Amino acid sequence: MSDGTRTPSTTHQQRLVWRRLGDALRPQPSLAQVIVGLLCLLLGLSIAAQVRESEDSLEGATQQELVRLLDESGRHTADLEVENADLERTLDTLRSGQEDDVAAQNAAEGRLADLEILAGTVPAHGRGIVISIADLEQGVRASTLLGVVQELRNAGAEVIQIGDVRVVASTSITTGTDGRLQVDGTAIDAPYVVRAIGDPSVMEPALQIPGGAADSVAGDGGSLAATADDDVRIEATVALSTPEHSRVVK
Amino acid sequence: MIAIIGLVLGIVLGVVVQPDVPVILQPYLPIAVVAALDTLAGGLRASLDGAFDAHVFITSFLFNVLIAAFLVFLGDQLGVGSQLSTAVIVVLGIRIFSNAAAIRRLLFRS
Repeated sequence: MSDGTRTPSTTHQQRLVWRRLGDALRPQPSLAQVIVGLLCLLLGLSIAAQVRESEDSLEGATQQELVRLLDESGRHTADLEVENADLERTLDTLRSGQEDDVAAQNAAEGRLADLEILAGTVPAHGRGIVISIADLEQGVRASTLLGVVQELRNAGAEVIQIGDVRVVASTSITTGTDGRLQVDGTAIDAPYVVRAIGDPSVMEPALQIPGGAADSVAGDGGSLAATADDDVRIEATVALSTPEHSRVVK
Repeated sequence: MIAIIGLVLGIVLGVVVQPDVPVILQPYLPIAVVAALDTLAGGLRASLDGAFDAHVFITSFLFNVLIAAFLVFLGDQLGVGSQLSTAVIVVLGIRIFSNAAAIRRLLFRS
């Protein structure tokens, strides 16, 4: 296919060809040469880009390689799916755990409120009765007042306050040296006002039963009047003291 | 000389810059590159023959590249893209070889 090209037959012609090669390699600052250079630059750029492009393409891969790649990606997918399932299970566990936690916290909060009311550390209000014990002759004894409290508790009083003192489990009712009644060491003056939160329809009759609290007060020379109230407010609280000797049995 | 400098510069630039081939050009670039290489070989042979003409070279360069790309495009449209690409590559390959053979004969007389 050497159409138009003659093989040089003499040494002279041969030398001419080499000179032409030298001429071609010598830079000639003409516009055409610059354009040729630019085209070649473009060609080089394309070659580099294309080489890089086909490096990471699968076009040249053999069937075996493709099968292996497919296998690998399939295995990878399976692995990821297993991992996904694991993570979803963990997420479910955490979610349900969180729900449990919320329920437990709600229960604990409710229990805390109950216990706070029982321990007397927070104010409370609700329907109940207000009892006023008039004692003009200073004859009402501590045991009588204690009887009133017992009777109220018996009748289901939940929170009780005498005068300005909250009555809790450890409350004592005593008679002071001056003859005045003391609740938890605080002297109170007649008329003694006892507030109790509970069912008025149970507590009121309980006080009035024959031989009951009302009669005892009358026997001491005082008089007891109880009025039901829809919203008895008990504002007095006690401070909790840390138990010094008792320990929880585990 | 400028052509060789341009070629080397282009390859270096391509390696350094790492250009992404536009998606539209992707099927045509390999064929276009082979066509351009063929033109380059033809140009070298012509310059050794003493018949090199820069204008001819430039037009044939562009034309060959465009025709090669167009043939691939046409093949894609007709559904014989890979066959036609092979055909173009074969023809260009033959041309490159014949040009190379002519250059060899010119330079070494054998």
